[in-house]
Amino acid sequence: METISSLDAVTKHLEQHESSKRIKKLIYSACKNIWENDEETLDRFKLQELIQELFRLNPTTNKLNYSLSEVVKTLNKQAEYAIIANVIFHQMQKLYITPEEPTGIFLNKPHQEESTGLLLNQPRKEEQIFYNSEPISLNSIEKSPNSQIKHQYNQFDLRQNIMKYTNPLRAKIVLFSALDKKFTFNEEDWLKLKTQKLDDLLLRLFNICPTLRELESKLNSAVISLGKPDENIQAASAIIQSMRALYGDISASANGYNPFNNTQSPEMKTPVNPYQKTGLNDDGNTCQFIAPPTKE
Amino acid sequence: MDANELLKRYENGETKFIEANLNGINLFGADLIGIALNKADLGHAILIFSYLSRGILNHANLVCTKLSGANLNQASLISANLHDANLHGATLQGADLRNANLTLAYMLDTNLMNADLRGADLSGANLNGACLRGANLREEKRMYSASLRGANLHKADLRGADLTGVDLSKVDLSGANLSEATLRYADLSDANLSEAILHNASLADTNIGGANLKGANLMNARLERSNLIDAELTGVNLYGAIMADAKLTRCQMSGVNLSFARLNRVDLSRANLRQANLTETDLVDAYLARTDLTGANLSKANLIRAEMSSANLTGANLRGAVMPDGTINY
Repeated sequence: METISSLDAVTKHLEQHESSKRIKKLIYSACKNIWENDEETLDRFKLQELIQELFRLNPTTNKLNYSLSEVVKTLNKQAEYAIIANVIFHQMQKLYITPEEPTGIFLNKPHQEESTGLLLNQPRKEEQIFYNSEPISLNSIEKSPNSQIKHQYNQFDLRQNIMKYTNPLRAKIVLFSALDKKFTFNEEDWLKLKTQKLDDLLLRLFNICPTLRELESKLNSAVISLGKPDENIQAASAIIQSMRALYGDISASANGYNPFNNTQSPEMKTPVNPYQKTGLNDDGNTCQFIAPPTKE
Repeated sequence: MDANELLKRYENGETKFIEANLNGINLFGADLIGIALNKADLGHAILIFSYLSRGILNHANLVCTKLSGANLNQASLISANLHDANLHGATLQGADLRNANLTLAYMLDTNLMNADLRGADLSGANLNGACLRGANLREEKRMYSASLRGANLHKADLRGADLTGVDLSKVDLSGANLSEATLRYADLSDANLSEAILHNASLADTNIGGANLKGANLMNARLERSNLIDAELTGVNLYGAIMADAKLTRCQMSGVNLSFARLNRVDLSRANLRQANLTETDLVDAYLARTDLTGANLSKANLIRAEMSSANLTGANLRGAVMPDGTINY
């Protein structure tokens, strides 16, 4: 297998890199969908095996790039880890080179390249973007045109879908309970609910939930706190159904929610949350952050 | 009749409660699907989260009734009086509200998709965030004439709604989505349409005089013969819009994007088109008396027979434009 020797070389290079610890953490996270700071846990895994796993999970370079950048986006030291992601990507792309390609310095094709046709609108040009020296993640992904992002979070479509499949007021009560406090049907809560539009509640929830799982758990807790399950469950599930698409593949790379059977091109599944607030406290240890509820 | 009696009789299979006096009744969350309450008095009643889908409430009195979260899908509310009713988050999808009185009704986040609102009076109603997608408010002579005068439709979803001939003067439609909506012959004078989305909307013969359209998107909209006198159109996107014979006198249109728009015979006298993008715009026979085109981009525009002797073209780009006399500027 032509990749064996290059796998050794890649592993060696990354092990000897000055930031090898961070490299391992990032690769680990991209494989396991969880951030790990504990050295003992990390020591139990061989870097080479993790690289292999990451390679297996990401059949194309685009996918690899996307997975790495998705992890980076969840971290509080994004700038540092974007560089680390770039190092990993530059090394690991060697694993994707087909044997006919002599060097792989220029224009190396991804191993399982776009020949499936499913990635047709993924021009070679895009591929080359990854070979320049810019940090990969935050560039290639977040530079996507505004129109695309808008298309992704269309408040009108979202609202329409929710109204179609559940009671708008019930949806608002569940959202209110998930975001602020349990809705108690007293005068004060009614007045509060009148000041909040369904749109705003949805956007707020979307902003504080980086993953679909997070969103589900927030809504589930709200439903439990509200009691009287049937209608609230129905509303919560309608919200989840309607918002599922907005999370695209984030759930896949961050949570293993929708494992790697999605053949859409990564650019099509551009992350999605144009409003996601980034950059948090910079305490000593890196952690995967979950944005705290916004104070509004 | 009190709530217990009504519920008991309904449970026993009785569905017709014509002209019943139910003023102030509390039917919170009651399941009354398909009930007939024609001409019933439900004024000040509490019907929060009640199930009234396919109910018949024609000519019912629902003044000040609490209907928040109520389900009235496919219900018939012809000529019902819902003045000052609270319909917060209620769902009225496909409901028949012809000639209903909805003045001052509170309809925040209400679902009115595909509702028939012909002849309904929604003056002063709060429809903030409501969904009126595909709703029908079309005027029909001597039959129906809907009014939304002074209503609040901020961020309302009106995609594909039929608003032909509707009175929308002074309405707040800021941030609303009116893509594909039909607004022909409607009165939008002095309306607030800032940031509104009007893709492919039909605004032919519409009165939009004095309206505020700042930041609105009117890509490919149809505005033939429309009156836009004194309208605020700064920075509006009118790419590919069809505006033949429109009146744009004194319009504020600086920075507007009119490329590929068709403006034949349009009246732009005294309009402010500074820094506007008029690339490949069709301005045949346009009237440009004292039009301010300072810094505008008119490259490849067609100005045949346009009257522009008093237009201000300081710093305008006329490369490749066809001038009024047919010569081409290079």
